[in-house]
Amino acid sequence: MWVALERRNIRAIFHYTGMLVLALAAVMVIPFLVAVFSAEWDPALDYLCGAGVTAAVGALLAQEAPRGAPINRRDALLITALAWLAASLAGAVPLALSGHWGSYLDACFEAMSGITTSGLVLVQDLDHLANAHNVWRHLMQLMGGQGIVVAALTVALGVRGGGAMSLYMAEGRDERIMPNVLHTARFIWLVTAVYVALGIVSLTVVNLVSGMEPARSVLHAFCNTAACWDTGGFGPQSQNSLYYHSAVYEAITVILMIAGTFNFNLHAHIWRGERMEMFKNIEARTMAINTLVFSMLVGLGLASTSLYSESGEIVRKGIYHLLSASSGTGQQSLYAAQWTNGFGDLAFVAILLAMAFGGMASSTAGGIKAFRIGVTVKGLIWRVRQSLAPQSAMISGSYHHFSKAPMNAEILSSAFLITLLYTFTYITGGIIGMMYGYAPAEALFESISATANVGLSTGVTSPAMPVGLKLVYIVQMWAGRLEFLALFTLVASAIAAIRDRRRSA
Amino acid sequence: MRRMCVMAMLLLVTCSVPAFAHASEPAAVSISELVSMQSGLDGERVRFSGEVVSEQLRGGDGHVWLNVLSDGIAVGVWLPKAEADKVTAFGDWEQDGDVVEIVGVLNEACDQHGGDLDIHGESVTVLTAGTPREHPVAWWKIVPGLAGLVIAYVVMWRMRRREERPS
Repeated sequence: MWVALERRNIRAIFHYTGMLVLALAAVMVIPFLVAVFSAEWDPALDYLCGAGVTAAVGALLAQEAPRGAPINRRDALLITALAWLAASLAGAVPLALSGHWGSYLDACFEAMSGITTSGLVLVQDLDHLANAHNVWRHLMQLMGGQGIVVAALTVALGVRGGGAMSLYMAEGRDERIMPNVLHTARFIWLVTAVYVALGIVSLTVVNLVSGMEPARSVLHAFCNTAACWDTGGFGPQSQNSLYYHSAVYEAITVILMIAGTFNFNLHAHIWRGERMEMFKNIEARTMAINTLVFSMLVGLGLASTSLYSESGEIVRKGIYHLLSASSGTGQQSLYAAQWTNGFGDLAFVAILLAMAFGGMASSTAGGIKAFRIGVTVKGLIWRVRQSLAPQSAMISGSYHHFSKAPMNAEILSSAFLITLLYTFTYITGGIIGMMYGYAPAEALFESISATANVGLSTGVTSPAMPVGLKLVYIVQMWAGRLEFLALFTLVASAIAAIRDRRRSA
Repeated sequence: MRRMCVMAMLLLVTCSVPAFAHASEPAAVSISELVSMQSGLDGERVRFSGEVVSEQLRGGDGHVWLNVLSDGIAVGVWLPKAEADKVTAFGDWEQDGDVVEIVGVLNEACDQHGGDLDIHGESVTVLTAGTPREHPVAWWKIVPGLAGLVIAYVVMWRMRRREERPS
């Protein structure tokens, strides 16, 4: 039964969405300051304007209900869905004002891509973009990677009781790392701060050794660290990781990508010294098996091509992109045309599947997630064992995910349902791309890349692509990041509201 | 017989002129063609032009990397430092970089550089020196920006007062 929202709920939803938008306006101070220090006066005004408009909208929404208004689980899902949309719409304002995006829609696409850590880009003339705009693009990835709600919870969203936990879980996070959700949010930011600091320092050193100026070295290091740790995939230059021509740079970014795709709960276990969890955890094992199998496929695929048959080439072109794909990062050192001309069919399919499967749950990565793949495979084995056993026999199954848990129909159907939803969205997006005239392989690749929040591109995503397809990819990135449930709740609530209004009319 | 030899020599020279011309002056191509993987120029000498959008990045063996941009696509050029030193300005937000003509060999998957699609450059000619980019300031953006901040402040102030009022 679909129950329409009461006015009290709507006010609370507006309030918390407004608070999140206000928080976003506050973060715009950072690119504003970067612009001022870089003497980029017009971009500075882009952020003044953007922050002003965003703050006004946020405050007007927030005043709808008093601070600490109670919310239930459905409200939390709606707040999350609306907050991600509102963040994209607000985050796009300074980008649109810069003149580097063809339209406000293009800027919204970029902002949604940034916040969902997808990495597909519609920016024009990226190589001449102001420092402030580059910082903002990558900051959006940093906020989105941890989760906008998590980011806001860390400061003072003001939500009380179970509402905070509902909000946290509505963002596609399943695990309570610390007993308190506020502490969980803070732990996520602590892990992020450590990896971001390490990434910035190491990439700055690489850039300085390569011959970059100090300020530019730090800027590039920040951008690339944010893009890799948050499995975002943006870059400050149009060539992305190819700009640096450095195997050391690629090695550091691979470490950040892998760390970024780890479940934050797994990070917590490693930090506590419980390193054996890495070898026992179903998610870590599935991820390792996936990576191994796909690496072999990519290696075999590339070895059979005439272009990439050397071992060094297989590692730097094959394994690098495989890890970029499976972690959902989207860092790319290939030109779009190389995916379909020269990369080989087998390696291409392996990259496609790696993107679709995705990284770990409760991480910055997207896709179906290794946990669901692992549980589905293990559940399938459990079902087969059940069907082979005598009728009187009780066949139990279990899996290890931070603790031993029994395999049951509920967890299996949940994992299978989400897997099915992702698969359906991948295929639907691919078919829509084909309807717009793109080749099947390219259309499917781009659709998976958008839904799984990866960002690798065969060239379909460009400022010249049809408006309809831009909208489709925006929805795919949004739905994929929130793992569908929050978006479905939003649609169902809208339908219920329309239905009730018609009945009362 | 001697006359025939002279004729044959002349014929040989005439026929080989285009070949020599090709060796010294390869046909100009665009960067988008170079990265299309369908140019048929892998391993061939190519000539192209574009704006330099990177500083010199260390490339080993007395070489450096320059990234050259044209039609929204940039390509890496690995070339001797002495040649790269001709470039004095690289493009960013503040300025357009030098527009250069590069002659070099296209590698669709360079064995020496981990399979990168790159150009092993031989020579650089600066066609146009880099110039500062104009960025006129759109002062009108101050109005919605400040107005929005004032609205936000007033609304939040009213909200706080409403909450502090005893119910």
